[in-house]
Amino acid sequence: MRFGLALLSVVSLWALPAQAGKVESVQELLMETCKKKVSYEQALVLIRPLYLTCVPGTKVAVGEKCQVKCLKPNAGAVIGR
Amino acid sequence: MRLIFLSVLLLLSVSVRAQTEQQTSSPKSVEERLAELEANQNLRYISLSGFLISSYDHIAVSETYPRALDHNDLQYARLRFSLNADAELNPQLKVYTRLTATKFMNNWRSQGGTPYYIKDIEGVYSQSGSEIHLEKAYVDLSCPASLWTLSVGRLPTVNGSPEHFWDVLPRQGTYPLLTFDAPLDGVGVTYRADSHLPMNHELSLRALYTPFMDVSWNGMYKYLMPPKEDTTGGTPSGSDTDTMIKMWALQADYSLKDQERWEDLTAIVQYYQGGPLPFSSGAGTSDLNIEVNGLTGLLEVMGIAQTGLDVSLSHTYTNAISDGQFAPGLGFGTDKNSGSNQGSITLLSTRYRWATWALGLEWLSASNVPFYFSAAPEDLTRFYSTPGSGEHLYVTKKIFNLVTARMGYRQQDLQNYPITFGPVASTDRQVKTYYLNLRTDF
Repeated sequence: MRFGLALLSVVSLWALPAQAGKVESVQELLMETCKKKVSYEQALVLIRPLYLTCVPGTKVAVGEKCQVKCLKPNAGAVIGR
Repeated sequence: MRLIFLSVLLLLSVSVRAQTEQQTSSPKSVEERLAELEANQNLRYISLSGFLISSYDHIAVSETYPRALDHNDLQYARLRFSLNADAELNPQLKVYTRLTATKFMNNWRSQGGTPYYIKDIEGVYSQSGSEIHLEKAYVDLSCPASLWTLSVGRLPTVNGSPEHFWDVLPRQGTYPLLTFDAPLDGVGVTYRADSHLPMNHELSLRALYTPFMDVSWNGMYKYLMPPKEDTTGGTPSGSDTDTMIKMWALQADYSLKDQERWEDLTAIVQYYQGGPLPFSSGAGTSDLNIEVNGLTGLLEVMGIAQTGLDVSLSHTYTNAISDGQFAPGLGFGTDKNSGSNQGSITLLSTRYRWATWALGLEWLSASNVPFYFSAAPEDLTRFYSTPGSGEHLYVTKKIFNLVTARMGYRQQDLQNYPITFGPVASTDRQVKTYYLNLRTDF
């Protein structure tokens, strides 16, 4: 079973496009902005505040002394963007 | 009785059998569950969001001429509700919509006529009660790998820069605030020239056609006759006019991001022209129409020297040309049969952001007779249309990211009344407004 899952993960990762997913994006953003390394699970928890419940263009507090930009796009405000 | 008993028994046996089958069927594999998850995700293509604004205004007005006014305790409580439903059907096809209601809280009475002149455009923001209005509904359509985008529908031509400063939001509208602050229906074409520019430079060139419709509701001849210049007791009178009145705009929208000296710089130049727009008096006396044009420049710099300091400077030059008369002696901004009303407005908006706070200050100055059509002002006294000068001071506090509280003071010193029928009258009116806004995004 474990072997099957591992094989599936490898196949899935191989099949994924080159661009980073949302979790990786959160990890990269925290590293770039706050020099903060977070685990996959911690980044997963931050998906909701950074992609869904924040206001585009604002900053979101992640722990103490770390503020990162909201990753929700500012859609529908300017035509053709 | 026996029949009912047998029916219930049959239903129970079917239910038990279905449950048993569900329990005994083999569990879904990871691949199946992943595929199911992906399938469900593909069905969720509409994104819902919105905001609710509760506000309190305290207005004091004083004037000695041409009319004596002295009221220093006018209080209003209002609500605004907006619901966005956006659908990104694929990268080339995106639909954006917003439904909005603006109202006074528990509006007991309303006196003195309707709060708007053009219901279709101003009705959305005129505190008209619990009615839901269509504020935005447009589609962005682009071809694969194309730099062109076609936008059709009710476009986001309201709440332009620097209005987004107040609640620490990103840019909220396509047009600069001083160009036109009204939701216009029409067609827009955007060409993105980013690929011809170095990294971090963005340039969009836009052409918009947003015509006004003049419709004749004439019984059996509905839509089959052109409208007339005026009406007499409800009956059209005067010469024929066009059903479609032109209104168009050209815009160059440039931005430069992530520089050492600033976080984001935006520069917009826009020209618009519209008309001739006829006006009905209802008495059969009007052959008045106006043509308007305006040129606006906006420069906005955010995060100057990597601090929280933001500055926006915008200037608009307008011309409203009057032709004909509404009634004897009443042209548009003149008592003559034709005339030209030229004017300008300058707005300097500054803000300093720190932690979850922002402190902002705005100066407004208008000269001569500007024509500024503002259908969607946040305030009740049309601050940004002030023919004179104005100051706005505010403090904004973000709470839990999604809640924004803002407290502010606006002062308007009018030199003359806003342009309307007849010569422009001078005044010494002063309006002071204290306000409190609570905005919740969801």
